[in-house]
Amino acid sequence: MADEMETKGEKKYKYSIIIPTYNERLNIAIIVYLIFKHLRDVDFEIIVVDDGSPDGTQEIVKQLQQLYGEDRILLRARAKKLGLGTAYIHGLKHATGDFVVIMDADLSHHPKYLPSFIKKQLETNASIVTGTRYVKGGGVHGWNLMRKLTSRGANVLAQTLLWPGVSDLTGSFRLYKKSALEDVISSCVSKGYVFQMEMIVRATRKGYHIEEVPITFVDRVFGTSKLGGSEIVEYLKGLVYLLLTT
Amino acid sequence: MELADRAVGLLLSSISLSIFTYYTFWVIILPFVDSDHFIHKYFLPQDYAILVPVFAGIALLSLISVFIGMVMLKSKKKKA
Repeated sequence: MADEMETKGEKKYKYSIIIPTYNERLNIAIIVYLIFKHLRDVDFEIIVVDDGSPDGTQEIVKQLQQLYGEDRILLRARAKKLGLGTAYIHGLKHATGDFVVIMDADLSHHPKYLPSFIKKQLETNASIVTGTRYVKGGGVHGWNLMRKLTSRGANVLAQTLLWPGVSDLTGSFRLYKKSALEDVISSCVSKGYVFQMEMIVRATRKGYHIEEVPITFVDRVFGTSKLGGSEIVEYLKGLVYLLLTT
Repeated sequence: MELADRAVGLLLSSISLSIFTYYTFWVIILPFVDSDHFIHKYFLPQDYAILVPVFAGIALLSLISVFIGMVMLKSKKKKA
């Protein structure tokens, strides 16, 4: 592969990939397979934080552990659905890598971009590398026009109000230096996907070096993601909250 | 699909750009043109340059407030 990263002669870092799951038994096996396929020469571990999925996600992860080894795939389950933010904190406690990658389990974040995240970090020594849909080479797939316009509008609004210094606030496909993530996550209080926005805005305000790589966001293949009136209002509330507190 | 979306985007951009150009011309350049010049036929009197945007803004703001209010009421009902 052309974009496979070169690590010869460099210090090898370890990467911890945190994947929060809830009812993702169909997706988790595919995503693990793809991560192993695209990160051949990299030392990494996958930490699955499962919020007690009733569909047997954990059984699948246990099977994967037997296949790939329990040191490569870690299952850190929680008893019930406790939310995304705490899932990251929970996973972070068990992470042993120098860097932490956060991605969704629903395949909207394709593991083929992982090498470009790692490469970007090595080139620039950034504390955070975030995937962005809003630069050349990035984009969305499988969205209708309404969804695209809403997303664009939301992003323009956030850019105008918050001056975050990054082009994509709500994307959650990111690589963090472990210490940076620990620092930023401890100062975040929001829930849901305002949380993604708060993390990157707080990181900007704290002066972390943030770099971007283009990604294509694919709408979830299995299951549905919702975007209605109440999501829009939650988003606006989050924006106002961030405007006032950062 | 992708191409159609692009066309819509282009259309939206060109509409907003032409409105911007028209309005700028109306407000900034037109006061310096002689009042009997033919170009005045293509523009409303200057008063409307303030009135139209103000009313459009008020309409937009009230629409947004009504929308937010309705959604909040609905979610409150759901909780109760």
